[in-house]
Amino acid sequence: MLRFACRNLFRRPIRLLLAGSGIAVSVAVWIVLSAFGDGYRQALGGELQRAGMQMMLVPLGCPYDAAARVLQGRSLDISLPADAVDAVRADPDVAVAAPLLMAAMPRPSEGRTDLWVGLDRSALALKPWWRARRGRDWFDATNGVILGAETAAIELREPGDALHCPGIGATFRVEGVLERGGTADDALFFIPLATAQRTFHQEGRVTAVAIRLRDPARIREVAARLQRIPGAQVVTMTEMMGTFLNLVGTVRTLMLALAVVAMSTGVLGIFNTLLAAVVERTRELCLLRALGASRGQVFGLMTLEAAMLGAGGATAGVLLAFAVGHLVESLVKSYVPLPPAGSLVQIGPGLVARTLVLAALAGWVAALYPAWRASRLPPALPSGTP
Amino acid sequence: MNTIDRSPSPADPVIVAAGLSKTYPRGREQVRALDGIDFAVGRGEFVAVVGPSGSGKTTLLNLLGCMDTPTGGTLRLAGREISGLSETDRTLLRRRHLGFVFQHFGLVPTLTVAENVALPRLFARRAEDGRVGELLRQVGLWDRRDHRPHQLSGGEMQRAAIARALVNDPSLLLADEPTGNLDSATGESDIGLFRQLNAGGLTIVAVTHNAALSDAAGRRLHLRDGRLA
Amino acid sequence: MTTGRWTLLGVVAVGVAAVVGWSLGFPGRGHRVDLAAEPAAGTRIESAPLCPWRNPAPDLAEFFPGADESRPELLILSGLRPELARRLGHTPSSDDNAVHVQRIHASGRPVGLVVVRRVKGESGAVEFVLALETNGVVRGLRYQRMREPAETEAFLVSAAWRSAFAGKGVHDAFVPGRDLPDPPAPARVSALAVADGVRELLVLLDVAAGPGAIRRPLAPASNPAHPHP
Repeated sequence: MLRFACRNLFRRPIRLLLAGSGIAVSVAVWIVLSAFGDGYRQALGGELQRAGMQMMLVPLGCPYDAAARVLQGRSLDISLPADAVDAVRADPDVAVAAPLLMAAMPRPSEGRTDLWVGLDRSALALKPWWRARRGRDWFDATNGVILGAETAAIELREPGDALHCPGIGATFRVEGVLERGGTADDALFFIPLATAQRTFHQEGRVTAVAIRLRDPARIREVAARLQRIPGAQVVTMTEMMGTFLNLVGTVRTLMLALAVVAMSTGVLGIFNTLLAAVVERTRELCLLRALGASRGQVFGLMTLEAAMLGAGGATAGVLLAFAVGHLVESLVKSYVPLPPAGSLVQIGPGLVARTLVLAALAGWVAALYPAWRASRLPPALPSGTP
Repeated sequence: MNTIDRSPSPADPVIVAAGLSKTYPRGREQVRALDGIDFAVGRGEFVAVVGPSGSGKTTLLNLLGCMDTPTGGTLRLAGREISGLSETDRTLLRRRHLGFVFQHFGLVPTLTVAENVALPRLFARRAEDGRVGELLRQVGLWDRRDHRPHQLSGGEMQRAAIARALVNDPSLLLADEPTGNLDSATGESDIGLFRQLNAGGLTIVAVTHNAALSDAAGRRLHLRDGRLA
Repeated sequence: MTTGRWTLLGVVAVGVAAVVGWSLGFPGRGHRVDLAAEPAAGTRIESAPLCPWRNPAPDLAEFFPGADESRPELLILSGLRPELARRLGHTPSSDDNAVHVQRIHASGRPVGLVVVRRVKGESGAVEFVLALETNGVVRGLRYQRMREPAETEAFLVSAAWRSAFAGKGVHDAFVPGRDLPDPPAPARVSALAVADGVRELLVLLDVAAGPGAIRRPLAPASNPAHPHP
């Protein structure tokens, strides 16, 4: 019966190809959009986890914008006084308070912006992955610079080389090149905090303070206390993640609506293909009934054809999803807030299995009416020229 | 479920029709395609149904093939009255006891000759036990078993259709103009095959315009205006 | 199965294979084009990303004012490493295995080519654009990026230094202070890097023009002013 159904499907190869393509495209859209949601949540979680902190003290303003800028290694136009760092460190629940000074040095004529980060040793406690691939992993000299892996590769720098910052006219000595971490840090220039404050004329000021608590369960109380520091506000990582996920969730709902439309189109494609097949093969189906096929067998034959069409289309859709996943990822990354460095479109076996089951179910539902119509055809002698 | 009498006694009729009628509505009119005919066909008989176009031959064949139900009279097939049978029982009766040969062969174009012959067996959920090969050899199509119908001549297609009709070992073979689409030489050859099958004990009812086929039959039923002449 | 159906199935199979191949990252046209683009932060690479042509419009305006098309091409020299080593005077780097060139056309006529190169300056990478005549002689030199101190930058961008390369070919010498202007001491390292970079590019292109090199056109860019990150 399987072979019979398969032969029937290939009777009209063009129609089969069109119907299969419709299913493939809808399945691919469904998979990519679903995978994006899962991947974004996972990647964002991982990114915040790697940040090694539970909250951040940032200058007053839009806290999420500020926190996102800091996480991405972008500079802020406003800053915190250094005594805010002392106030945070004085809090008994704070295990680590790492002040950061970020500065962006744009070079419009070259179409680039260098991102410089001043940090002190406390930052190492928040960056367990901080490891030098070459050279030293901490500054020996005040004019030392440690480069992210990407920066070092592009600037062709090795430990011991000079590195000039044309915007401020300062020259640094490369002390180390970090292991590639897969985060925004790969593209940064790290210098000692005091050097950064002096070089960028921000003496006594910091852009943000990254905070790790002794007991993360006390995050609410600590946040309430630190919120009282003048000119500062607290953003917790949970709040940040929630806000970004809400934003993405809204977009995702819209995209899923799109996916449902795509899937419906695929289902209608199967419906149309089978209905056309029933009309076209009426005489043959009547003949099969005359040869002893029961109504159930004719129904089964048609649903089997639908299932095969659905399965073939869905499999092609899965392959297509893998192929376009990268494309969608690069497109989406430029629009979402705080795009994590990891893969945003993660197509796992679970998702593929769920989608295949869904496609098979949708195909079966689409086949019900045409198959029922076929099964109601009466047995009859074939007449006319075959 | 009733069992169907398949005893080999020649006295035992395979078909018994009494006052068999079939009326079709055509607009406001009622057309009497068959008008109360009585006949019986004994086991092992070869009967030709002849008559002009519109005389009711195809209607009779549809009734004998359990593809339609009479509007009057009774029709017993292999000992069972078909008027009272459900759709499922009629399907089972067709599947187990009837074989069909059609004027236009009725082969499925996407299947090979062997697959076409095996089709009724597939529907009957009977395992392939060599019967298909045996029949293909019998009708001389073993070498053509993997060909598609469009690669066969008319005579070969008809022999494939005959093999398909026999694959479930029916007790009654119904043929609708089996030589109607064949040239005379091929038709003669198929008539020979029918004779051979009948000689083996198979009951055959053939609707035909072909004098040679009706001559080959042991008995003729003349239909005219829905009545036996 | 008919020939037409086999053809169709073949086309479908090739299509599926292409999609699968692409999704698995097999080398293909699209990937070669990507080599020219600087990967986004976070992509895992171990060597320096290839230097892209970042801002074609002003470069073309200066060197090839009438140009209306640039055709990217990949010159694969991996099979010529021994000759490259002999001509360069040192072991070629992995970046020397292939050179991306832009063949510049004006009204369909080739007018020259553009090559970009990133060299190690004293205080950071120096990226320059080298414009060549169709016969391989330098037409001009411009910089894309550098992070040199003011004095060095001033020397490197000076008309005297840049114009000294014009008219030179692969057989010319590029020694600062003799064949090229003498740089001030602070600019010496970077100036030497640029001069060596130009000479090495000319050698690579000269080797590529000989036998054994593979020329592979990349995706055509009808608009020469395509942006780069």
